[in-house]
Amino acid sequence: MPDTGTTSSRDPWLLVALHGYGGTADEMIRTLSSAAAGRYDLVIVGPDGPDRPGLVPGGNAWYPITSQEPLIARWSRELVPWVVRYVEGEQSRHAARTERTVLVGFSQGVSVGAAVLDHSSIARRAVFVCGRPLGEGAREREDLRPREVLVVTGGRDRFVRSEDVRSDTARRRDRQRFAHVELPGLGHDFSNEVAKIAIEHATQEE
Amino acid sequence: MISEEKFLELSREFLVERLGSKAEEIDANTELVESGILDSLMVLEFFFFLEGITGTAVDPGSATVESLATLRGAYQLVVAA
Repeated sequence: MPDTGTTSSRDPWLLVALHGYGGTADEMIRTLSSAAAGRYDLVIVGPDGPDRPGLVPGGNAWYPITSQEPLIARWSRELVPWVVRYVEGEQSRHAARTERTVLVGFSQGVSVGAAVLDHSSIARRAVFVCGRPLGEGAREREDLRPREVLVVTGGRDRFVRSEDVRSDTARRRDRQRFAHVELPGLGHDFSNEVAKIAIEHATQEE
Repeated sequence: MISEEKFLELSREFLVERLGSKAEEIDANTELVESGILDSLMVLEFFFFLEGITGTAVDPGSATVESLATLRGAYQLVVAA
């Protein structure tokens, strides 16, 4: 739904969960829903990635597993139209506005979410957990605000190092949008604690 | 191109570092996944270790649990990359 008027605090927040390699949208939605218990002002949705991961049978993925950053960035960028179509559909279905649409990415879902932020205006905020926000960043726009993207990394993450994520955000044109918090005890996990942090950040009124 | 002997040596070092003594007896044909030596997260870590050895992306279509079932199978992924 295009933004055609002012946003009311009674409009729903739309949280779009973007799962990791081998995960499912349902798993993330369940964790976020549990953390959001008692909140009636948000809708949590999410698609399953279109790829089938060879190393985690039964799950879903956004793209084949690799540590090669150029490939991750390219495959993530190629998925942007697919994700935007999904989010537009959910915005229409739930009468949710772009201003209150938040991408919540985990692991592979972070690189996909970052590409969506860079190449569309479908969502304003994001929470990125245990993943690499690769890409050049969105071009300067008047509607971009400082610290509207929260990046969470784990001190015990075996796959994604906090210093790499700091480098990713420092290289971006829109780095002022990003705030970074490292949780020392967090591994590569979209935990209940992380879900609570995500919801708190996602639904802050300006 | 890394030799199979060198690959096995590096792989054993990698696995012992993470899994401890239970990885010391692993040979080229030891079943890694069904035996539980590699859990789902370790499968991914091992895959990234393979990419580190090759310095390039492993063919996505070949990256399956079956292909990592043994070190000998994993070596074929490295050779094909």
